Amino acid sequence: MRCPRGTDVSVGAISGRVNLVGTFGSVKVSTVSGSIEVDTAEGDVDARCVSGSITVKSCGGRCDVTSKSGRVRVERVDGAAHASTISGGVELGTSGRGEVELKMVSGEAKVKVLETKHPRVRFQSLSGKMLCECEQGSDFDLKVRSISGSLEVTGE
Amino acid sequence: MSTTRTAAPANAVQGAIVFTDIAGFTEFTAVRGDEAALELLAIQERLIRLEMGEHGHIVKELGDGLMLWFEDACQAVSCSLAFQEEFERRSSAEDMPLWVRIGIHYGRSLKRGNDVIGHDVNVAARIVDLAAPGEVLVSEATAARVTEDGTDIGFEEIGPAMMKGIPEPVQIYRAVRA
Repeated sequence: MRCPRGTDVSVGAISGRVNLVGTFGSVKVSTVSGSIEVDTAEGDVDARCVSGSITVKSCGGRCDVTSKSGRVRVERVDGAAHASTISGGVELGTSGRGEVELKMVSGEAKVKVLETKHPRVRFQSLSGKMLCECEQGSDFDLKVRSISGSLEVTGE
Repeated sequence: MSTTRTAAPANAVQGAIVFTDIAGFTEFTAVRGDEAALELLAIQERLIRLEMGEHGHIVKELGDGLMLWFEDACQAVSCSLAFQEEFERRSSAEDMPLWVRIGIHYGRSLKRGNDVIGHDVNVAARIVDLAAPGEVLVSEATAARVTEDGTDIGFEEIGPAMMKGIPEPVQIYRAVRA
């Protein structure tokens, strides 16, 4: 299916892969077991699936991504980001202009701060470890909660 | 066999069906042990009963989750949000990285002893699968009834969701405090 650049898109699928190629407005996608890939959303993204992986290359607004058992990867988000997964890992790149909140059970979280911003990091975990190679400050909040997963934060 | 519905059977009830699920329960049990897991389930049930009061009841326990039934959709959503707020407050204060996911659908179900069954029960069970940790997701049928009642509850559109075994897409909303 083709649509004009900047179109708002809502897609629901059970087991098929949803691949949004190009530049969209806001994006809302849900699947049961299919993976989700989004190139560029100028607005907000809400992507969720039960068992597939989720990849968002660029989100200009708020980004909400959740997968029960798949990997979550957001290469760049300019707004607030909320990502969660029960058994997959999370990789997220943030411009540091909005809060970042990750909720994970056992996977690893890697957060890259893409601009010269200093996060206020709060990591809560029962057994996971944190490695922060980025100078901390008060530019934005980075909250990560995990039962056993670890967190790695890097700067530019 | 005909599936045409005629008059509503005597055991048919209209109401909100709520499913809860503790995200990470298995891992929590592995790290903290069986006794802590049992205590966690007790906390969940205690908080639910506290917020629910006389407005609803626990239909049954489902492993680490609960199935609840409310006559009023507004009470179901309000109770679920209040429960999430209290659970979040406690888990933050007690350094317990755990969350509950909640899914709600309003519709018709049939009583079978203390249980309720039916298509709308199945829809509610599928909605919780899509919820993020700490989230309350509701169907359009639920949101419509809450909007009519007018409360401090708001809804953010998530979009259409296809669900395994459910032929029609279901419009999903995230319930939030307005």
